[in-house]
Amino acid sequence: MDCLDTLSQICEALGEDINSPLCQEVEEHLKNCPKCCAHVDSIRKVVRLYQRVGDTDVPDEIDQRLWKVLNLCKPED
Amino acid sequence: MELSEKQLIKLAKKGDRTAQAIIVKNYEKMVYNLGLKLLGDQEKAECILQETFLKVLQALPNFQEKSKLSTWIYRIATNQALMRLRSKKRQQVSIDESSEEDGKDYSNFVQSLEADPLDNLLNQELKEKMDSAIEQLPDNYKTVFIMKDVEGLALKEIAEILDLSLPAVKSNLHRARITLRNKLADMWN
Repeated sequence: MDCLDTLSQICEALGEDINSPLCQEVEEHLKNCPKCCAHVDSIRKVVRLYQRVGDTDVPDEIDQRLWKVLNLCKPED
Repeated sequence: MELSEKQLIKLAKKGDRTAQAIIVKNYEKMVYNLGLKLLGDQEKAECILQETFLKVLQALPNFQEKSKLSTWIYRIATNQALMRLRSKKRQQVSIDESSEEDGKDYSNFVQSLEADPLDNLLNQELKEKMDSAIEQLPDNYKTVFIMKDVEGLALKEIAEILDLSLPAVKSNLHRARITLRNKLADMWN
C-alpha cells in the first residue's frame, strides 16, 4: 500500500473525499511528520495482519447439523 | 436460470423452501465466520449459525427490504453474537488505559513486522497472539473492527447494522485499531 492508499483510508475514516481540503491538509502534514507516518504505518500493518487470516469454510459436520435443524435440503453447487 | 436477489426474497417470503435454502447457502459462510471471529470458538459459532438462520427464516415474511438482504442477515447474526458476548462474564478493558495513544515508540514493532515476510509471520504463535489481543477487546470495539477491517463492510452499513451513528462507528474503529496495535506490540516485546 502506498501513501495515496493510506491517505485514502484516513479520509474514508474521516468520512471525507480524498480531494477535500481536510484530506489535503492531512496529506501535507504526513509528508513532514515521521511520527504520524510511523503511527499510521503501525496501525496499517496490524490491520493487514488480521485481514490475512481470512475466512474459513463451514466444517462439514456443522454444515450438516445446520441443514437438519432448518429442515431444508442443501442446494447442489 | 439464476434468480435475482429480489426474486429470491419474494419466493422465500412466500415459503418456497428452495429459495429459502439458496439464501441460507449464500450466507452461511458469512454468518459462521462472523460468529467465529466475534466469539472465538467453533461451538459458539455453530450456535450463532443455527440461531441466526432459524430467526432469518422466521422473520423473512416481515423483511421490509429497506436494506440489502446481506445487511439484514448480518444484523441478526451480530445481535445473536452480541447477546452471547454480553451474557459472558468478561473483564472489560478500560478505555483510558488501553486505547489511547500512549506516546510509546512503536518503530521496533513495525520493524519486526517488516523483518520477516508476512506469509512467514502468520505462524501459530502469531495467530495465538492476534486471537488473544482481539479476545481482550471490548465488544463494541471488536465488532466494529471485525466488520470493517476484517470483513470489509462499509462504515455506513456497520452503523446501520449496529444502530450506531457514523461518528460512533468511526470512533470505535479508531480505538479498536490503536488498542490492538498496543496489545500486539506489548506481546511482541
